[in-house]
Amino acid sequence: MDRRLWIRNIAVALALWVGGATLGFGVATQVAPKTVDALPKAATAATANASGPTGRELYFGILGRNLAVYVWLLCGVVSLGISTVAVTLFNGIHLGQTIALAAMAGTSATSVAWLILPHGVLEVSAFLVAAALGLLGPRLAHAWLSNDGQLRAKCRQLARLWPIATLGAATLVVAAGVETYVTVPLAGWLGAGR
Amino acid sequence: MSKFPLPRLPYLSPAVSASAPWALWLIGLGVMTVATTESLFRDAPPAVAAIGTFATYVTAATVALLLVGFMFLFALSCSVMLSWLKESVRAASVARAVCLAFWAMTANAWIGAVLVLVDPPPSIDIDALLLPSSDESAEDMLGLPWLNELRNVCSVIFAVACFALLARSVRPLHALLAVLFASATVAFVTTAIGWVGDTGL
Repeated sequence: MDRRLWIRNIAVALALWVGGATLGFGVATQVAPKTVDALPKAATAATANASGPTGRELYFGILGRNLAVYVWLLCGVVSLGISTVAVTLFNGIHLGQTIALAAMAGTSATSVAWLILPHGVLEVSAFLVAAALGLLGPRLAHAWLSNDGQLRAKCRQLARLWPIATLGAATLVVAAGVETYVTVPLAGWLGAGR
Repeated sequence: MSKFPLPRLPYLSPAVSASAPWALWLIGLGVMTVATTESLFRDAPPAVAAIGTFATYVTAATVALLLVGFMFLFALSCSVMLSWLKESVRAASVARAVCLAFWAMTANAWIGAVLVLVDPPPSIDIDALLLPSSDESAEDMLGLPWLNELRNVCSVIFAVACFALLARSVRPLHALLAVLFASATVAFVTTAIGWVGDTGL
């Protein structure tokens, strides 16, 4: 894949993700102040008291969930790029909502940044690379439907990108470690400090 | 060119007859989603209903997009298998067969919409929504016990229709193998991703 195509695909993925995040943030900030008050007390208390998984269990939980998202993004190669677009948008909206709800709950922007950036930089980079690969789907689809004999060549070109796809998955392995052993203790520390 | 042309709706061009089921499916899915959401959040506080409705629409749109993506994967898998079996069928013919067989999923959406309108699901308990028990499936939570059965029946009808349409252009045994391979591919991909992502978090 040439450099211009990489840049274009990553830009498209980034635009989808940021667009989704903006939408999620916008909708959540419209209704969140009322929502926080309207949540049933029992549910809020139960959520606060629930003891979540820790350590190894949490690490593999995060890793599995992120790898599933990664594969969904890569599936765009064989699904006309549709799964890539859907999952990128969905993730963006989810992130936007989460940030908005955290802000409405009184978490400072610095704390949110500390909670997202350490693992987020690695995680989002891996997801954007996967999305860039997934967005090659329409090109492959065109080659397949137009029957111009280029499908085989394009598949070979795509197969040569396996080191990048593997590197992305490896990045997620590291990101899950950072999230488990840096972000979660940091969240506890920031929560205690408030 | 195939020996037996694929059927199409009368008075409509092939492109329109192939895209008609998708448009009607989208409308049916929209009706079903709106009716379900209205019913689920009718007793919830307005602010909770607003954010719940938004989350439901986003999820429904994502699922709809993924279904379209997997239909493409289905067509691609059929085509790959037919090529491997040395059938000289054009990719566009396979794509059109899948598009026409998609009427089964259109029926799924509209039957679902009618069932929701006739018997709306009960209003959702917001506590249950926030703290779902691990043994409760999505269809139990939504109060739509027929959802999975209807989808399974329509998926089987889709596969059979696909086979019938492909068998007009290629040898029936090859068409059967292509549909089985495509079904297995889609089932494998969805199950594998579901298994990896089902971490209980």
